[in-house]
Amino acid sequence: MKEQAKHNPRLTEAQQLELTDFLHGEMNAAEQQAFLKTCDASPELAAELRRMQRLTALLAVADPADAVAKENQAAAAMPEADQAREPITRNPSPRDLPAQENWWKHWLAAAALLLFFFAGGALSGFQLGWAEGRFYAGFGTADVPPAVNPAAVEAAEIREESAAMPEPEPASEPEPAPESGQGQQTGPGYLDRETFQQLQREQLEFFAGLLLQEREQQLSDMQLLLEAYAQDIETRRLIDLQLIGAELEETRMALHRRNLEQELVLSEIIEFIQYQQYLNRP
Amino acid sequence: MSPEAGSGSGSGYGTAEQPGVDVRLVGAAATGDEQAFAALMRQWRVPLFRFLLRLTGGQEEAHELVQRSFIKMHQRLSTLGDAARFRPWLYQIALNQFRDWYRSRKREQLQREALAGEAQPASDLPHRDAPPLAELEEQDRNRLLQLAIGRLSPEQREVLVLKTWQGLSFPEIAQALGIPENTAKSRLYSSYRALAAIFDDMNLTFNDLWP
Repeated sequence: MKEQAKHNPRLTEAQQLELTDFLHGEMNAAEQQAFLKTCDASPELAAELRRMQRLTALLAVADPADAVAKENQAAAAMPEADQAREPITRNPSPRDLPAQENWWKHWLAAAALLLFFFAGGALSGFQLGWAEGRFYAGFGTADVPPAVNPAAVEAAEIREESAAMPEPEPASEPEPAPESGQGQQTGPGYLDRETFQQLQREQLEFFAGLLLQEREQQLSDMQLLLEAYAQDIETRRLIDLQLIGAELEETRMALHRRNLEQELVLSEIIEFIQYQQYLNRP
Repeated sequence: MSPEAGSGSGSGYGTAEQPGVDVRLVGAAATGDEQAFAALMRQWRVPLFRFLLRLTGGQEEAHELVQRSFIKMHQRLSTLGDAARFRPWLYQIALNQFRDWYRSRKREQLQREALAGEAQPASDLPHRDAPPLAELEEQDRNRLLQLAIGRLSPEQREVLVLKTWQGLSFPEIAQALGIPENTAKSRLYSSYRALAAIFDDMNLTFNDLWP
């Protein structure tokens, strides 16, 4: 439309109306012919007609509503497009990069480090080993402390707990274990197997007694609760019976009162009739 | 002009975009038949939405105005005397909703400008939202047309949309806008001229718009 920018015809109002009618088919054949003749006589009107025809032809194939709909579809699809584009536009950090070609350098460095530690350990007398079921590591000769019997430690803990409990029959102190001479370690910090098993039995008996006592207590409480509930139900039942009895008595009294009233009314009617008969007597 | 040479009376079967008026359906809805009213809504929902979309340029605004138009339609349908006049009558209701919306939007814009202390004169809202020409080169003619229509005055926009895309005849446009028929024609010509001038301002030729 650059070539038409300077085109600014001054049409009369009648010409504008005719032009609009012609563009929209509001003329019959005779009127159309007449208008075209007018256009032939007026180049300015003819140019304006061509311009408007091109504009209306454009409007016939374009629709702004479609533009809005297309825009909204594009906006709806935008997050997916952004997601698809993101890995490309993001600056990759060194951690995200794929494996480097000189990967063997890392392995070589790790091997050199291990070799350095082993060599240094050998020169300084560093020792690693396994003795009496334990792993040890250190410098100089191996000086392994005597092993602590785990069973003895556990038994000592159980004994302490037993002493702290309010037991009616306190657990007897473990007898010193007889020397069996079969590799069992004895001494003030050690318990033999029999003592330990006896302690375990005592513990079990204690807990069994405790549970039994607790169970009896619960049964007793439940019995009391049931008795109280039964008594409450019985009380409620008695009250309800009394209420029902009172209601029945009241109903009976009401019925009796109504009977009396009816008898009274009947007697009044009889008296009235008798009185009338008395008056009508000849 | 000859009466037989019109572009349609506005009745008949029509299309989904420009449905014809079912006089019996309108009559039943006017007497309070809710099912008929629901059918009428289904029939006119899309045409009204596209009409208001062309006027407002926004989907959410168009949805909102369609709802308001149907509410007004429900309130006033019993006052519609001649069911054959339903189409321009309905468009008149939608136009009133659009005008209310346009006024409130313009008022809000003026208040924002006053608060911002801008000395620039107020112009049409879609015009202010229009991106620069460099961003438009890749877009299609519908988008360009939508931007250009957004620069028209509301009166020019209304008559252009009613005639070009809603397919109303000049008598129907005159009735919907409440103006004489010749005024509707003059206004349409004025909107054509304004649209061409806007294309000139956007430095666009027909080759840009119609490859």
